Amino acid sequence: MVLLFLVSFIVVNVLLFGVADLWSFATKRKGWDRFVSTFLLSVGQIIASEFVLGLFSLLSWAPLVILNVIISSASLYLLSKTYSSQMVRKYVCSLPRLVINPLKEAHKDWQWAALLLLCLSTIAWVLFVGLLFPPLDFDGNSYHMTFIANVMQYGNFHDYPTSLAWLNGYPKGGEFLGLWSVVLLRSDVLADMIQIPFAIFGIYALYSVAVSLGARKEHARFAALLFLFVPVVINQLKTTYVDVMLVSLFFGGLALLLTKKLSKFDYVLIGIVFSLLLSIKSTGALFIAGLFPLLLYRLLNTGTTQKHGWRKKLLLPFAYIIPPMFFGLYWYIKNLVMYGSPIYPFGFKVLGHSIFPGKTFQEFAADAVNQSTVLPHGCFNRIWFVWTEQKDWFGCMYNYDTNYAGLGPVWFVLLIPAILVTLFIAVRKKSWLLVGIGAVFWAVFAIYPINYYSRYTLFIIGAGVYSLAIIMGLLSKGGVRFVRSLALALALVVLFSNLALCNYPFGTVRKQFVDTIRGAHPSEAFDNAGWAAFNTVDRLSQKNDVVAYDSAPYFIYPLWRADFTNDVVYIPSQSQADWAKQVHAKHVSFYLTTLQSREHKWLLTSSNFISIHKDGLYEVFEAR
Amino acid sequence: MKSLKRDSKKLTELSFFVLVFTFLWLYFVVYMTPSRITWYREMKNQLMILFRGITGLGG
Repeated sequence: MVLLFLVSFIVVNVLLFGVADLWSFATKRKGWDRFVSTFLLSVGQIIASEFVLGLFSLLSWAPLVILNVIISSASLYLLSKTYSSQMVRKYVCSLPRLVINPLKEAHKDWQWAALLLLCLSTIAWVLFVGLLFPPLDFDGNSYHMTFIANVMQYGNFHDYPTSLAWLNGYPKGGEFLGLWSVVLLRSDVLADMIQIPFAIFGIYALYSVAVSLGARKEHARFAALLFLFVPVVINQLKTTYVDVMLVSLFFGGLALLLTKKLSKFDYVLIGIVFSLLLSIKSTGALFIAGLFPLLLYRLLNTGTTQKHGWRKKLLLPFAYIIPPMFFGLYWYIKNLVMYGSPIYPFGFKVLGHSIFPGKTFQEFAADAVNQSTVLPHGCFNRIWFVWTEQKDWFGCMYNYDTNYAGLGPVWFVLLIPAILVTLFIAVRKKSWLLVGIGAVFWAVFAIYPINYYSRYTLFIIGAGVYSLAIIMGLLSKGGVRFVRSLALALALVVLFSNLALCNYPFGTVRKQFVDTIRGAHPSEAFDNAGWAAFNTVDRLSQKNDVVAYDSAPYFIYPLWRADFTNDVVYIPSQSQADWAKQVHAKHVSFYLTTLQSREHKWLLTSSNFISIHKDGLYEVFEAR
Repeated sequence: MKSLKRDSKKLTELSFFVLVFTFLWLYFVVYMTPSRITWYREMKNQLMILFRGITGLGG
């Protein structure tokens, strides 16, 4: 079966990306234009097929494979009818050039080649660690992966009873992308590496932005690679978090809007970007708000003829932009209907007046951060404290989710000065496009909630990247060589101080590698991560067993078996008698509780369950 | 005119490098806190483990 899943995964992906790329090639798109269309069309098809199947509770391996093979084959048939057979031959002949051309460039530019090699080595290392370990990140095991496992259990993406508001409230764009490999492989082995292709997408987008703003290509491609050498980017590549995905799409949207001539198809792609931004995180709306003035400017200035009035110029493109946004808007409409707030579990206030009920994001964050923080008070003081990296986080300088680590030395030493000098030059030379793009970045940064938090505001790196690319064009040859050498040295500092990805020191990686080679049970990785309670459940739980979690959970996802053949449920109840009845009716075999939950107290007095594991956080019970 | 442009370019280069060196000094000298030093030591330690692991595998 494993071989069948693997073969289907490869075949479906080759068909999906191949046909999308063939279409991009046939429509004579080149470079970034071809890449963005191939990437977004493929992502669009993945999400659309999952959404349609999920709506009818058919989201599982066979329907997903069949539907995507049908869509890709139909697209291929249409392409063959529209274009000559020579086009396919030309396309196949052009494929080796995708590898040969960068190699030729690398041969001419050794510093770029060295940085590219460091990038590829970093990605290879993250892939290696990612393949060895299951998803072990906090939010992933709390709600990102739990949603994916729910889909595996029920075959749809509807809301089910849970004690974790995030699980039902969070928009699911990132999860839909992670879901792709999980459904096709029936395994989570690739689920926490979905941000890697988006990081590559972000790098290419930044290259395109820099070139559109006037940077020379050789400087743009060097500066764009520096995006990967931000500690939080490297650390997030082996997680189910969605921050890299989000900012990469923002860069992609910006690159699209800076394209010289926008076609109707480009508007569709912009719609897909907006949809993804909305569906990945509710703060994606801030990025759309940031891109909107540029979109309006482009629409008003790129009419095909003067006979079109401004209304047509503005309204017609939205006929292409809005339909793909349905997926992104769905999650907010669903939340509004079901929970009374589109951004549930958060509420929304304007000037102190509640528009939607619930704590606002700022109030939630302030409560969470102010409880025990060494951060100074004051917005600028906090940003400075974090950017100068004055404090570690649970023994790690860098992590995928830390209050204290900033954006690393490449940002602080090279990109901040580049931004300052570029801004000065842009104002002096009255380059209003450059000033405007800078204003977009800083406006979004200013209004972004808790903007000292590096994983939320790592988009600001984009401003540094295009600024550095522009500045390098103004330096002497020696100056450029020095900047590139310094960038390489700082990239090495970042790389070596992040290779352990905080949670994967080399000793642990080695032990996991040896365990994997000897064919250890996958859940032994939980032991290596200090999650013995989940290992207990995972080892004892059999196919079709029902495992329940309580009203105060930390992690839910590890309760599923690695092959997703057991069921995991939450039993909502305020009284012990009602709860006991439901537990009996649902044939619960195992119960994982945190020590402070009400279910824990009830289970201690229940004669139907016996304790089989207890540690400082959890107690696991098994039905007698 | 040409020499003015050249001077302006040199001034840009000079300003940029003054800022770069200032930020380099701030990052690696002024704010080199004990926790940062501890972390860099740990990084060195991890690299030694990796190195020993690789050479061990080779042997």
